Amino acid sequence: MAEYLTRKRIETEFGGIAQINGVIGKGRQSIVYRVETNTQKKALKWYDTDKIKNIEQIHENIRRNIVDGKPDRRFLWPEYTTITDNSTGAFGYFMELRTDDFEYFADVVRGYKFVINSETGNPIKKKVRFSSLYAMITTVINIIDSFRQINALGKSFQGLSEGSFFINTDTGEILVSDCDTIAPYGTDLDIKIRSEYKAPEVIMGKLPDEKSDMYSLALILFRLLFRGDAFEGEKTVMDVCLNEKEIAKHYSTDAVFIYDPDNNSNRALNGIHDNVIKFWNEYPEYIKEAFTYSFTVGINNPEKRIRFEEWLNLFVRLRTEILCCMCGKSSFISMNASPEDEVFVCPVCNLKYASMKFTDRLYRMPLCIGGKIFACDLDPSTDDLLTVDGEIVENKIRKGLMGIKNHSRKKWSVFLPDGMYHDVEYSKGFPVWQGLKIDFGKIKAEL
Amino acid sequence: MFSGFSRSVIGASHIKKNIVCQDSSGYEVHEKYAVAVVADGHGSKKHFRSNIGSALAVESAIETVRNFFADYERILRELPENHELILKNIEKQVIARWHRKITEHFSENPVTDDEKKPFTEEEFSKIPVASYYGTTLVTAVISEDFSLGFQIGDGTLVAVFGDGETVMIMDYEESNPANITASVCNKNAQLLFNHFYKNKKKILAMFVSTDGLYTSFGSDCDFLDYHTIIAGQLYDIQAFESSVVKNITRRTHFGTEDDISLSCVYNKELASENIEIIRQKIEENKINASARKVRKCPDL
Repeated sequence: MAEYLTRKRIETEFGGIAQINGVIGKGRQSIVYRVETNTQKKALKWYDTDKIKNIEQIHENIRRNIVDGKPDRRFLWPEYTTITDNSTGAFGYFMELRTDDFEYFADVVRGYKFVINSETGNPIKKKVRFSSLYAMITTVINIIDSFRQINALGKSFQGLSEGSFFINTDTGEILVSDCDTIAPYGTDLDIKIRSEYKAPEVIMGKLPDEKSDMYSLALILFRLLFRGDAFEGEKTVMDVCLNEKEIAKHYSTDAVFIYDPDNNSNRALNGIHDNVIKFWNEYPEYIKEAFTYSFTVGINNPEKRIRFEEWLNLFVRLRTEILCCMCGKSSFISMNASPEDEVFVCPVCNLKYASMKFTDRLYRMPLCIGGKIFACDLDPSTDDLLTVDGEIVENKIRKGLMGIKNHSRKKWSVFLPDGMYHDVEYSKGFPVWQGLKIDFGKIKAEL
Repeated sequence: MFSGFSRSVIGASHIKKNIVCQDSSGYEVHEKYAVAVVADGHGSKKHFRSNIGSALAVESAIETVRNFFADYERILRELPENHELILKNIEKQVIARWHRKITEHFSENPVTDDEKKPFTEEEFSKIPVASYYGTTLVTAVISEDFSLGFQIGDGTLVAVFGDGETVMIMDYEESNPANITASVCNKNAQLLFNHFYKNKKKILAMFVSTDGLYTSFGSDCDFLDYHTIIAGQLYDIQAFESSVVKNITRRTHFGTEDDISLSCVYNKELASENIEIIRQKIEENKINASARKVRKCPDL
């Protein structure tokens, strides 16, 4: 497989030449190289044909994905291939390079990465953390949406792993990797992946489909939010598992969710699952219930699994409920409050925050500086989950006075308690006053 | 086929401070394999039960290895292909067992006023229970077919091969990757292990020791030569025991004057059959050591 490292040059399917400039990463069945073609820097994924049984099918799937085109800019999608080596059948494909501001999913879950100290040459530990809860929940929304996009095309992830996503921890943007393993339902690429990312029925031999992707999505989200594995608890750890097949039973026939309310045989353990133990208590009940449902009822009932849109609704709500207190603590309001509460309290400094009630939903949005109102919060029919249409800002002259600024191109109307109203155009704002009613166009709200 | 030895001796500095030996050690010999373990309880203020923690870590490691090796033929089949996965699972189970044991000990032995005395109430409330028992752990498993080891925190694992070659299989620094203080009591401790697996070369003996032994030597070379010398005494285990115990007791007055633990498991036949080869190697080492005095081997 390493032959191209010595050859240094590889011909593309269109007759161009790609110069190999180094290795980016190695997987079980492939190596990804950094390459340069004419004026462009690209990544080249090159397959180890000795380790892949059905290389022809993978080749065919890549050709199909190239023709179908990339679903959106988040996908590191196959763009074109190399010529195929006649003697071995070996080949690779070119895709966009990941930029340095995207971290490995595994490093985000672990919370750190090792980097080489340029002065000493020794590895040093560097924290990998989300800059804010907004960035983290935006990542979650991006991942759910990427599953939705793929499944809308009648395709599913067949090679899902912790290497399948890269994350910008400042913005929450993601890049989806391993797009060569995204294939139409019913296709069997026979990709060897760990059980931790598979639906039980796929472990037992069924081909991946939309329902199995719903389950895999829950597994990925659990890992990202709780920094651990949904099925690795006491029962799994105390079992003597000597190979992947023996581990697989803990994710299929003998799967017990670590927080299964009716079965405590597989609880998370101190010293091993400390992250999960800590983070499980930091999320509101409706999020914990969604995972509990997914990993109890959803294990053997694919039809009852939580759909992509339902996951999106849950996390759009969670994003709305972020409280960024001036003391520096960020939290989710529903952790410490009931839906009917109108005032929310920072759990650290006890500072109180007013809230905004939207007319189409039960939950409220805390009004704290830096709070964001997204396009989908103001228009339930939109697919736009990421555009910020409004933001809670502090008055530049009168410190402590909050206002809501319109970042959208739509005109808002604000009604005062005395019946007067004002239009709020793009880039303008209005102060946060008790009793105000706002018409955002498709949604109304009151303070 | 296999035999073993283990001993922990209290360090001179601990005798002066009137504190108990924080180290623990043990070994277990089976027909097809043997396991040697040492653990170095941290001993500092907040780790006030680390002597118990180290003993429970040794127990946990031996029990876990016994559990994984209960069906020897099965693990023998799986190790060549899946040793990474198996070692990670062993490490997780060691941590799980240790936590079970300390939790049980803690529930039967609540913290006493004496133990709380050095702390303010606020200080004490911030110490996790696992920290009371904090310890390192080094484990080696030897068999006819392979050898493996795993380690969290400092300590050394030395292998002496049949031809007399003596190596530190896991480097001293590697046990603390990127300056992370690794301990069985750490959160997510399973991520802080180092391990190795070898199935190519026949091993005569594997020694594990706490860092009191390593720091009592002036250089890596002297430390390794010492292991070759004591491997040459294994053919007569009684003589070996009395000589090694005397020696490590003396060594607690060198270096950091810390407690010293040394455990070893070895292949009895190989230790007798290869005695001349080992002696020859010891002679070579002596010549090399003299040459080193001129060149000066790097200090520890």
